[in-house]
Order: sequence, then C-alpha cells, then structure tokens
Amino acid sequence: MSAILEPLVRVVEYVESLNAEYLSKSSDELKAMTLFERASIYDWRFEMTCTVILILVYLMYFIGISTNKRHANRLFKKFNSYLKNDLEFSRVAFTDYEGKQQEYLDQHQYSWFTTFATGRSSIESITMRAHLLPRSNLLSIIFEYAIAYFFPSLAVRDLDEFAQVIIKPNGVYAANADSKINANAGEILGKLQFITSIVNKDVMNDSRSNNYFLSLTHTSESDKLPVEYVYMSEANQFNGFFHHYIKETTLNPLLKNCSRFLQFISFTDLPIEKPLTQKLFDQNQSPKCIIRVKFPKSNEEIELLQKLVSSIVEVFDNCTRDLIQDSSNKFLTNDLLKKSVTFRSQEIDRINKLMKQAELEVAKEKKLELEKERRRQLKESGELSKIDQKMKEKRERRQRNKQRVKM
Amino acid sequence: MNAQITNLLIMLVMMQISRRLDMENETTIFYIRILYCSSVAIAWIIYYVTRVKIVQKNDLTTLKYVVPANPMSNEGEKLETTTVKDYDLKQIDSSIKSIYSGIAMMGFMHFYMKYTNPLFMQSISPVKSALESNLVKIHIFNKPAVGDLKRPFKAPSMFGGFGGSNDNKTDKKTIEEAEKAGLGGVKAE
Repeated sequence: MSAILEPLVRVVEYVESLNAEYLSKSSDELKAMTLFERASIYDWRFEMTCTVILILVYLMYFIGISTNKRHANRLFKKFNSYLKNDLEFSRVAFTDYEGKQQEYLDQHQYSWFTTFATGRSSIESITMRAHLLPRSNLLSIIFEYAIAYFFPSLAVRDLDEFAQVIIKPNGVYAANADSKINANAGEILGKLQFITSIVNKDVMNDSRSNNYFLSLTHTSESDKLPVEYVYMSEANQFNGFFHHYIKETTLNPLLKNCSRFLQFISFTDLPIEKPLTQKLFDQNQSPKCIIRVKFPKSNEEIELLQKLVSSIVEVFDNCTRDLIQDSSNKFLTNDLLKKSVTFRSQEIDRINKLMKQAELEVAKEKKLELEKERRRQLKESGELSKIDQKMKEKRERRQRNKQRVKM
Repeated sequence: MNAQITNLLIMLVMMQISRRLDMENETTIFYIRILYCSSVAIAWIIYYVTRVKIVQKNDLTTLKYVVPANPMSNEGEKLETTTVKDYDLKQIDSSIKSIYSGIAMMGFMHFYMKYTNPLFMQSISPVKSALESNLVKIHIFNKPAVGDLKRPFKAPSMFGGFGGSNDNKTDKKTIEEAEKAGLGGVKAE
C-alpha cells in the first residue's frame, strides 16, 4: 500500500513546497500585506496547471462534440435528402415542437444517432441508427480500447463506429399514385420469412455472435460473389435471392466498391437479440433487411450506402410485385417457403425445450431449498433427532431380521 | 526433436552456465541485459515480418472450426468462422502480445525483485519459440500448410496427449450442428 501511496505523498509534498515561503509567514504578517503583495508572493503554478488541464478537458469535449456533429450532419443530411427526393418517401426525419426540421435524434453526447422515413410503396419504414465514438470523453475511449486489447472478453460490444439501416417491407405494392392497393399485405409479409445474407469475411465471426438470425445460418463461399464476401443463409437455396432481384453486373461491382466499409446485408424475419421464449420469438418476428456498415465518413461512402439502400428498396419492390401478381418469375416458391416454415418450427421446438430444461432446473433447485429449510426447522424443533433415532432403530431391526433368516 | 524436450535441454544447459557466471558483477549483468534485449528484439522482428507477409498475402479463404468447451468456465462449444488471414493475424498478434507480457514479467523480476538469473534463462527461448512458430514456418520458411501446419493448428499438449484432446474440431457434422446452434445475439447481463 505504501508503494502506491508514496508517489502521491511526494506530489502533495512538492505542491506544498511550491508555497513554502507563503506558508512560512504568520497570519499577522499576511494580514499586514496588501492583497497584491499577498498574491505576488503566492506561487500560482499549481493553480495554473489545474486551470490549463480544465481548459484542455473542455477543449477536448468541445472538439469531440463538434467532430461527431460534423460527421453526423454530413451523413444524415445527404441520406435524408436521398430518401426524400430519389426514393420518394413522403415523411423523412423529424420535426421538433417549433415545426423545425431535425435531420436526426442524438443521444449520449452525440454518439448515437437515429433517423426515420416512411410512406412509400412496398416499404413500411427505413430506420438508420448510427454510432460514433464518444469523442467528447477521450479518456474513456483510451480506457475502453486498453481493456479490449488486454481483456477481449470484457470489451464493450459497441466499441466500433457503425451505421445500421433497417428496411421494413409492408407487403403493399403500387405502381403509381392511382394504382389500386392490394388487400393481402399480411399474407405477402408472411411469405417474406427467411434468412439470407451477404456478409463481409472480415466480420463473419463478430456478426454471427452479435446477431441471433445470423447464428442460425450456414456459411458458404460462392463464385457469384466478390472474394471479400460469403453467403449466410438458413438454406443454400436462398443464396440466389440477391442475384435474382439485382443483376450480377450491378450488385457485384457495388459490393466490391463497398468492401472496405460494408459489414453485411441481411434479409431476415428473426430478431437481432436471441429470444428466450416462444412468445418473444413470435413477438419479434417481422420481415426486414438490415444493412450494417462502418460509419461512412466520406462523400463516396455515403453515395455507396445510398446505392445499397436503393438496391434493397428495389428488391422489395420487385419481390412484393411478384408475390402479389403471383408471377412465374417469383423467387419464393412454395417449396422454399415450406422449408422456412419447418426451419422456424424446429427452432421454436428447440427454444421450448431449452425453456423446459431451465424450468426443471429451477424447480429442482427450489425443491432442494425447501428440503434444506424443512430439515433446518426439524433440527430446531428437535424432531430431527427423533426421526434419526427411529431410522436407526429400523435399520437395526432389519439387520437382526436378516441375521435370523440366515440362521 | 520435440520442442518441449529441447526447451528442457536448453534450460538445463543454461542453468549450468548460469552457475558459472557471477550474477553480482555489473559487467555480467550488463551483458545479460544486452543478450535478453537482443533475443526479444529478434523474436519481435521475426513475428512482425511474418505479420507483414500475412497482410500482403491477404488469403481470404474461409476457415470454419469448433472450439471445444472450456471446462474452467461455463462456455460450451463455439463455432469460429474466419478467414485464413484473420486466423493467422490473431495467432501472430497473440504471439506478439506474449512477448510484451514476458518483458513485463522479466522487468518485474529483474528491476523490482533484483533477480538476474531469470533474465539469463529467458534469453534463448523467445527466438526459439519464434522460429518454431507454425506461422513463421509457413510464411517465412515457405513450408506448405499441411500435416502439423494445417489450420486450425493443434494446441501443444503438456502431457503428451493425456487427459483428453483439446484440439479444435473440423469435421463436417460438428460444424453443421454448431452453425445452426443459434448461440448469437445473447443479450449481455
């Protein structure tokens, strides 16, 4: 302990020694001096150092916040404008109580950002959530990185900077403003229950361990994809979904250009977090496409992200149209859908089995606790010794009977 | 010859030499420090050159294996889906990290506890471990990644295989089961 406190004591002694002259004067001597005289013999170096440190901390905070705001403004302004003008969403981003347009909502010292768009054929909503490092607190970043380097298991899950776009379909297709809307949206959405993804090879393991839906998939390489990516689908037959709705000549160059920042594109109906009960499984089951990228900081990356989102919206447009019109070109055939239904029922069975096992274990523990409590009460009341005595007598009686039989 | 046996032999030889050295003599201590630092520096350079070669090769072949359950913790079997490049980088980074922890340990023993003997004993093993590393064999000596050098590498056993195998599983059935296990997305408590 003294080894730890010794340097601290030395620092305190040094700080005190700075004002040895001032502290050596008696209070009468100090009273006799003017305010200026007292201030001039006092050594202000310690106070100055503290002030400089405080100013530096404030500057770091200010620069950190400004940097995050700049990155977020660039991304969200462009992205929202693209959603509004190019993809023709009727409602994009938020309006505050004064009616002023807000490009995003921010949380935790400008480190988490969200935007939202809705009102378009085939798409119920697009939500983009982005995370930036809390640059306002440099010390915490250094500390978290040091922990992640030396103790990877203690690392914070969202340490990296990313943007995640969730595109939810609505099962309604309208070719133009005057088109009649289909009434079987629920039925169409029911057919979009499958998992197929294109995942960057750099993040295969992390993506599988952070996302429940990806941890249910089979990983396979394919010549159809750029070498930086793999398919992760619940069955290999779903791998063709991407190329069925997006031309290979469009998708592959786009994927290739995005390889340095795209983590995965996944069509799924299952949640990101593992459901522990069938109720949670059913509640969180909704078809969507998730695009996860490293936070796009350059204009080029933002444009690539826009192209990705546009491609996925196009996939939902074409897929919804095919399903509504029951086109012969549709990818999701009845055989494929049957497979996905079987897959989900098997998964639900497994969740129920695990739940039952957990319940049995809890019941077992409870029973043991009750037994312990009963024995403790019996011991306290003296009943236990009586029972033990009875048991002992019983054992002796049996022993005697056995001996008699032998004789 | 088995690496552990050679380690043992080197240790015995170094022990005999260290008995003949005057560990109190400042000059001897100085030369032992130079020997240890050079050995660590050479090992670090070997690992770093290997790391550069791994990055240059950029082998993106997918590698799947199942890490067996850890009896010391509650963790069950875990599927690792990675690329040859990432696997190699992970292995080489852990080797580089082990050099740093070795330096920290030796620094504590030598400067705080004032022992010089461990410094001398550890002056050969960093270079030896670096040269015996599977990745150095593959990337520096250009040996083919087959047999013992096939990824995922087999963990060296302390007791010649007694007490059960701790190797990663690579058979198709185990991997397929692990792929569909649905162990991801568990919310941290």
